[in-house]
Amino acid sequence: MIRSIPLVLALSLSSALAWADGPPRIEVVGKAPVKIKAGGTAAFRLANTGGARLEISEIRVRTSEAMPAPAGFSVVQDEGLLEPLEPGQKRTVSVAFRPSGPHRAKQLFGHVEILSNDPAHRRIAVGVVTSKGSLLGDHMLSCITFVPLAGVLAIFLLFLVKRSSDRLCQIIAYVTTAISLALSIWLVIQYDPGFGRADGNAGMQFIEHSVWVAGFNIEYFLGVDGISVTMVLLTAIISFVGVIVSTSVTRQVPGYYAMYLLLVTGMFGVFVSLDFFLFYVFWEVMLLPMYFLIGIWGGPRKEYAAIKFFLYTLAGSVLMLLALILLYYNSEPTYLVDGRAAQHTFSMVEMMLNSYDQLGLTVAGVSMTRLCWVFLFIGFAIKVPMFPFHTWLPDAHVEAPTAISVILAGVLLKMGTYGMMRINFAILPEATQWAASAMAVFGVINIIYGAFCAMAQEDLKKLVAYSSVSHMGFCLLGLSALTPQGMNGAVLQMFNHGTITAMLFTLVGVVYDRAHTREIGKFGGLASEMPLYTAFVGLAFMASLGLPGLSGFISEALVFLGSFPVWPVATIIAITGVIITAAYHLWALQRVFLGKFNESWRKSHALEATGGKFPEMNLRELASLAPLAAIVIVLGFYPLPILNLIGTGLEDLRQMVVSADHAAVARAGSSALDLLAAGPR
Amino acid sequence: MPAQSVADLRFIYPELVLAGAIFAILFFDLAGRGDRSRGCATIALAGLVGAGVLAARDFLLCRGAHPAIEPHAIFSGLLAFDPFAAGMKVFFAMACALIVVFSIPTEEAGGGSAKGRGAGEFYGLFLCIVLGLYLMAGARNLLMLYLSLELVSVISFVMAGFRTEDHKSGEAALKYVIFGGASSGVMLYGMSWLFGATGSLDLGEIAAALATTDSKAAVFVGVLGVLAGFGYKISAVPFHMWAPDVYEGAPTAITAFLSVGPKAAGFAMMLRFFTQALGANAEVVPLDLPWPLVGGILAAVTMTVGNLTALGQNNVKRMLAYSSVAHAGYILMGFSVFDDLGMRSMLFYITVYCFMNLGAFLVVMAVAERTGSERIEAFRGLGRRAPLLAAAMAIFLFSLTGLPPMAGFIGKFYLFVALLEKGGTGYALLAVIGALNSVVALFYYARVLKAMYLRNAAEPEAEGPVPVRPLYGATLAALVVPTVVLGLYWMPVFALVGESLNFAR
Repeated sequence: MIRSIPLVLALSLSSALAWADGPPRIEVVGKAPVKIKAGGTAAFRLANTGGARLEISEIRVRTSEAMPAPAGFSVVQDEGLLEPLEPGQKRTVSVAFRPSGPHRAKQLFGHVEILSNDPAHRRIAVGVVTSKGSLLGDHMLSCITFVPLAGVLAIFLLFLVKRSSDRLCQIIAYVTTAISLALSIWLVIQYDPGFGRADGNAGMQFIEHSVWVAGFNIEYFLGVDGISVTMVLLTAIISFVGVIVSTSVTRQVPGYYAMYLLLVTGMFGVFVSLDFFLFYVFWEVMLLPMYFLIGIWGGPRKEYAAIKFFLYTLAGSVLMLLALILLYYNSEPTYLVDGRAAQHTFSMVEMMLNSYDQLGLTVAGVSMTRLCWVFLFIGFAIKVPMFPFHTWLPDAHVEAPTAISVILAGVLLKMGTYGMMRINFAILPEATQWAASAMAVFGVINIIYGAFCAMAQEDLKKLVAYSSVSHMGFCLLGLSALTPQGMNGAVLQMFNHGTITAMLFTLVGVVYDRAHTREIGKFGGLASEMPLYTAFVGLAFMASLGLPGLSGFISEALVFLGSFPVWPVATIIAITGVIITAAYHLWALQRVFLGKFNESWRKSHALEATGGKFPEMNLRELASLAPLAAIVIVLGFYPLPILNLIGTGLEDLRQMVVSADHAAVARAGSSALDLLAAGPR
Repeated sequence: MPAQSVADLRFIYPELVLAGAIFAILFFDLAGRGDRSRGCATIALAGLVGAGVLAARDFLLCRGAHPAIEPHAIFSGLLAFDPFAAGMKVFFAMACALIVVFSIPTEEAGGGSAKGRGAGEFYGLFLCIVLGLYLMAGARNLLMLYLSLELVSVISFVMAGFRTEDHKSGEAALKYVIFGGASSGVMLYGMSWLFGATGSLDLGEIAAALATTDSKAAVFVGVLGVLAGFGYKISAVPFHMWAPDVYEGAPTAITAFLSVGPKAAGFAMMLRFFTQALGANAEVVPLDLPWPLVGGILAAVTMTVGNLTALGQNNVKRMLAYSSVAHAGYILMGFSVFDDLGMRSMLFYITVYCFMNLGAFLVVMAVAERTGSERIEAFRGLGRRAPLLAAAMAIFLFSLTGLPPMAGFIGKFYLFVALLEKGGTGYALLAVIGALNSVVALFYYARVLKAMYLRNAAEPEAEGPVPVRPLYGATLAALVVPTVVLGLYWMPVFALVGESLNFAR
């Protein structure tokens, strides 16, 4: 503001002759932003508080080809709308929002721009937002995100008044995650899968948008598109299942659930934030509970695993922080949601409109966009985890308690690939094209290297951990292809891998609870002892190795279909990874469940209570596994619900990346949805 | 001139109140009977609150409250009356009042000893340092700069050696004296070069003379010498060697004070010196001297050395000493930018740092009071023995690391913003070094976290709950709340900091 004063002075001096009583001054009367109801109209008043006649040249809805305003949002062209305003005069401007088109926007977060001859404010904006006036109608995503945090506060308050019994804390955890799950399912039902960028609001739904720190242009901006709504659903399912699995925790239970629920809030927050600063805050908030959850409730080497996880992730996120600041300072002027002018922006949606590459900036001789891309990518790749940043994962998984392994593999790893899509791909499309081949190579290394490592493991949990490294490689490969099938496959793989590994870790937890060991070599012939358990493990292993008819197959197949036309050699190598994957799964299955039962277990200490027999899964364990198994089977036969959900948002994203390259190579292949629609159902 | 000086007295009410409080403590200590520590502390607290309120009034006055007073030089140019000095004074009053509250019944303040001896000296000397800090904040003449700095240093030597029966305390004091003497010698020498090159001691006149002088080398050498003095006060590498020993040896309340008060005052002086005498924040730096480079190297070396040495420390106070060296390095990143945003982010970081660092020291004190040890082992199992104390420590440590949603993150964020907004390879490199340093810092802060939460107490008998005095509880709350709130809503404070960056010409 201070910097602009001399400019304003100079301008007003130069026109002092024309304006004897000072220049015209445009002002918007009333509260910002203007509230409007879908299907209705709203009005705001313009006033001329200056000393000369105010000429208004245009009043228009802010819209552009890259980010169109929702159809049906218009300024009512009253008679005399553009008449000049004499000093002291006021005029009412009406805006209407009558949603139209095939996919009607239920919400509106737009701006009306007014162009006038006010020398200080040639162009001002008035924010226009819809509000349903109900808590869930307006703040659905906030509710999903912060209900678990309310649970944290409840546990803390109970602790202060010394009423925090273990049972009560567990109930709080059940209730809050169940509410989030119910709301997420409701969210998915309400979500309009066909709604895309072309329909307005940058393709986002369930938007919440208000100013958080006006002085630094930070906004509280939440919203979901197809990719994030899928991830929200996954997070809700996994975190609820995680509470069921958490029953095995017996030490410091109130603290455990407080940290667990804080983690859940952080995860939801990452997937729904559309303001980069807010995203970063949630991203970091997740670190603290994770450190304690591994460090306090973990296995023998928990301290090492916890600090390793913490250091790796923090190293990635400080680089992300630098990229965040660079992107902020090179963003173009825009408006905050209430119409205030902002010199720069943290809004990811606005950042997508900037063409950073065309600024041509360099840092140390390297293109700024590429540097930012690499910084961000390292930050996300550590989370994925991508070779060579993956070494924290086996340690963290092995030491973490079962429920935390479930969360870690089920949701946290997906944040890496989600971040790549939401930020690297959407904001820096040119650099994404530049780096796509490297991504593919790293993806293939992940697949092969992870699979070989998994084969060498004696610890069942470590085997599953390395299988995660391998399977997340499919996501990287699919994303790098930038084809519809590849990217759909990648996001579907994120969802499927989330459910499958959650199952696998829960299953490992089941046997560990009984035998107090996970060493593959010590088992054998378990199938005769625990047939139901064996069936579940068999299902999960088959899904993980990509057996047709189970969910893992669909996503892997889509990834290969999508990446083959673009990276044929890489894809062929990656497909050999599937064979290794099948090998280590089947080999482990054989060693643990088939063959002769290891009779030394009969006299084992661990099984004293049950007289040397492995007890079958109990109801609680069944309750945590059955929903996941159902999802795996259903999505194996009928993946369309998830693909439909992802489709439009992902295609918009893909178009953004691909069309950034003006000499775009025409890529073969029809959309993944067509492909599946053509096949037999 | 004397008449003018007498009239100028009305601009130093805060200092006068402090001086009055010092005398009041001395008389009370002489005349009173029995345990006088609480009485002395109350007087000190009253003096600090009074000085703080008056300084806040000055701040409002120079900001244009009625009747507005233009920022100007007072006492023939020796001191400045401006928002910057007033703002720093408010800050010092706040921080020092907290430290007085910390120190109330501890051994070194006399509360625990038989006849309550030493309380008068302790609080009297403490207020003398505060007076020195106030003068440092206002000094705008090389002589005044030196005198106020020495006032703070000399009394700090005494305070560091306050536990006369403790060898470590004595050793700390002696080291402090030697390093202090050496660096103030270098500083004086640098000042003499500056005086030789410009012919004046007044910062404003030096600036005017620099515009015409061509003795670039002399000015450069002179300023480097002066920087040694500042570097000693802010404990920047290579003038940091005293810090660990002094921090470990001094009474914890004094350590907490030394890590915040003189450091902030050193930075305040540095800001005033570089903006007023050298015009380093101007678009065109006079003589084209490479201050950004000097500041950048100093920052990079200071934070890296501070963090790497902190890694191996087992005494928490010593570890926090090295961490405070590292934090000086972070703040120096803002110095290397030296534009408006850079200075603002420095001041904001100092404010935030005050809360989180004092908080960490307060927890160390509370733990040491119960367990008699300041080693990391004493923190074992604290998460169960004193859950709230441990939670507060965790918040302070996370904030010191710079993790959101704590205030330390916002502070660091603005420092990075200042660097990256300025642009250029050097600044980007410095930002990367700073970012990686936060990761290193996490490692040693996490050692305390690990002891608190992941370990059980070393001996079974130490496993019992650790009671915390209500006074500590209240002070802790007063420090935790801003540490968290400033991480979520910091704009008003940031704006205030911006307004205080207004120097008397």
